[in-house]
Formats: sequence, structure tokens, C-alpha cells
Amino acid sequence: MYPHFVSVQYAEGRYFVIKDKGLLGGSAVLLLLSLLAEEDCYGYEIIRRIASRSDDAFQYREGTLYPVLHKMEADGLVRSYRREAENGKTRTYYAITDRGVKQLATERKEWDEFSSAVNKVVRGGAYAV
Amino acid sequence: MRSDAWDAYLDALTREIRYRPDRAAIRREYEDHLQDAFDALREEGRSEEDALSNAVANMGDPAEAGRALNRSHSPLLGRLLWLMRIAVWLIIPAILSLVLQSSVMLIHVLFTASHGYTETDAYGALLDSVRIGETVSLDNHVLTFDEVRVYENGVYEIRYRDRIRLFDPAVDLSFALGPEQISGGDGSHPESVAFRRSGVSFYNVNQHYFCGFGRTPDRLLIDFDRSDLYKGRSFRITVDLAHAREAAVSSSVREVDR
Repeated sequence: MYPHFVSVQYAEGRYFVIKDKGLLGGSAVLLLLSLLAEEDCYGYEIIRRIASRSDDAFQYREGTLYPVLHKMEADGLVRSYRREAENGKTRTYYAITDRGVKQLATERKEWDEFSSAVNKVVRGGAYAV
Repeated sequence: MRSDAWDAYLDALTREIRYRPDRAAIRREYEDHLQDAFDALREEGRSEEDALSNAVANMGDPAEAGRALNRSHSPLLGRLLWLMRIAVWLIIPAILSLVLQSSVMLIHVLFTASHGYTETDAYGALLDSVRIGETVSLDNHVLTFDEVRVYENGVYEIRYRDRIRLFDPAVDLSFALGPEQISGGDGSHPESVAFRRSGVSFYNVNQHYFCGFGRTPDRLLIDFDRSDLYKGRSFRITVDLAHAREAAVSSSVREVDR
């Protein structure tokens, strides 16, 4: 089991109200693999990217990011290495592995199925993919 | 940038990691994160004090994160990894040295005649050469006695190969042939003149040079008996030198006849 990473707060006017199921907590791997598939990142960079792309929709404690990354590394989904960042400081970067790419494809498919099912219910018969 | 609040956070975090060798790397990663968060907050125009406390507050509960990290850094997992690393560093040089040794031996065997034996002219001309062609098993050794050579100065050379069966559970004792194990037809023992061994740890070619038999022997007896050490640890090989000489003579006679 992956450590709980994203705990979604109910924000008015937003659709993310699935926090009781812990579903977004489980999809932390999907979020991280999606980002790392584009580019190798270090921890703080990941936090910044999630924040800017989601318009700060996710509220979470930053310290809980690394347990997820380390678990993913132990599972062989990512690997880490030290490299100099653009600010000249050395940071621990994470890169997606072949196994991670496969896992990403699976999780994306599951997510698409899930979100399309939710949309069908929420938007009624008018909704079509 | 360092502060007491940072150190308190990092201490509380790393305290939860039972596998101590991983603590430093984890601490460094979190410290990097705090530094980046602090720098960003300062850029936003926050005061130093404000940025410091906010960076720590945004991290959440250090003990909770530490416990979660501990699950991926268990002592068992860490020790296994270390053992694997050590094993790799031990095995690689061993394999390399074995490969190197055997290729040197192979080249030696390929470029010199008959299994890697070295020819010598130190004892005068070669008078006679008798093939033995007997293989005996002793402990984890496979001894192949190839040849007895007779030289002009009365020196006899015994050539044998000594192959050690790797991974054989049999007792591992070194094997060497001494003058007391060699005798001529009349029971007299020779003196050892020289010994040459070449090869790798598990495959050697041996050349023993003896002299000083009572009279020219018509046969050579190799009688190894150390059954006092282990039951059945003995072998005996007889080489018919007279017959070989006759055969050599008759073959040369045939040559003349032709």
C-alpha cells in the first residue's frame, strides 16, 4: 500500500469531493508517474508542478511526498540520482523506469474508465466521451 | 539556511528510520526541500522568520512522514542490498581472475605442444619417450600421467596433469609426487633433480625430473600410498620401460626394412 499523499479538502465550486474514499490518495502514483514521464524532477519541483497545473486544487503536507517516491523506487517504478539543478544546487532527481512506464499506462486506463463512469452519472445522459 | 525549527523537524523525521545508513540521504533530501521552499517564500516577499516557519509547517508531521519512509527503508531490505553489493564486489574480481588465468593457460596450451609441457635440453638429448596414458582419481584431483622421458644424463622425467574438480565435496589436499613414491624395477628410489609446475589454480601440468636409479631400470613404479590419512587414498602405476625400448627398437627396425 502506498502512503497517503494527497488528502483532498472540499473546496466550494470544485468537483474534488472524493476524499472519503481515499481515491486520490491512491492516485498519487498516477500523478507522479505522469509528471516524471515528461521529465526527471526533484521533489520540490514535483510539488511546484502539481500546484501550478491544478491551480492549487490539492492541499497536502509536502513531507508526505517522499515516502511515496521512496516506495515507488523500492517497487522499481522510478529510480533516483543526484544531479545539479538549474539553480546550481545538487538535488535528488527521480526518473521513470520501464516498469514505471507500464504502470503509468495501466493506471491511466483505470483512471479514464473511472472518471468517464463518474461523468456519465454526474452529467446524466447528455454526457458523451 | 539553517534554523532550530528545521533541525527539530529533520531530527524527528530521521529518528523514525530504523535503518541508520539511509538516514543521511533522507535528511539531505528533506533539507534540500526545506531550502527550496524557504527560497521561494523569500522571493514572494515573506520575512526570513515567516519563510522559515512556513516552510516547516507546509511539511506536515515529521513523525508521520518518517514512519511512512521507514516502511521503504527497513533494516532487512537495506542489509540485503548491502550483502548483494558486497557479494558482487567479491565475485567480480574472482571471476575476472579465473577468466584471465584460464585464458593465459589456454594460450599456453595452444602455443606449446602436448598439454602445455615445456621442453628442456638441460639434461642432454632425449633418448626415449614412453607414453603412460593413465588417469587416476585422488581426493578432488584428477591426475593424468602422460609420459616418461629418458634423457642422456640419466635423468628421467615424469609428466602428469593435475586437474582439480571444482565444487567437488571430496577432501581438498594438495598432491605432489616425491622420490620416495618412485622406484625402479629393483626397488631403488631416485633423487629429485627438478620440478616444474605451470598452470592455473585448478589445472596444472607437472614435470618431475629424477636421477640416480641403481641401474638402468626396465620399469618405473609410481606407488602413492597415503591410506594412513584416508582409506583408499592410494594408487599405483607401472611403466614398462624395457618394452617401450624394444618397441622403439622394433619400430626403427621396421623403418629400416621399408
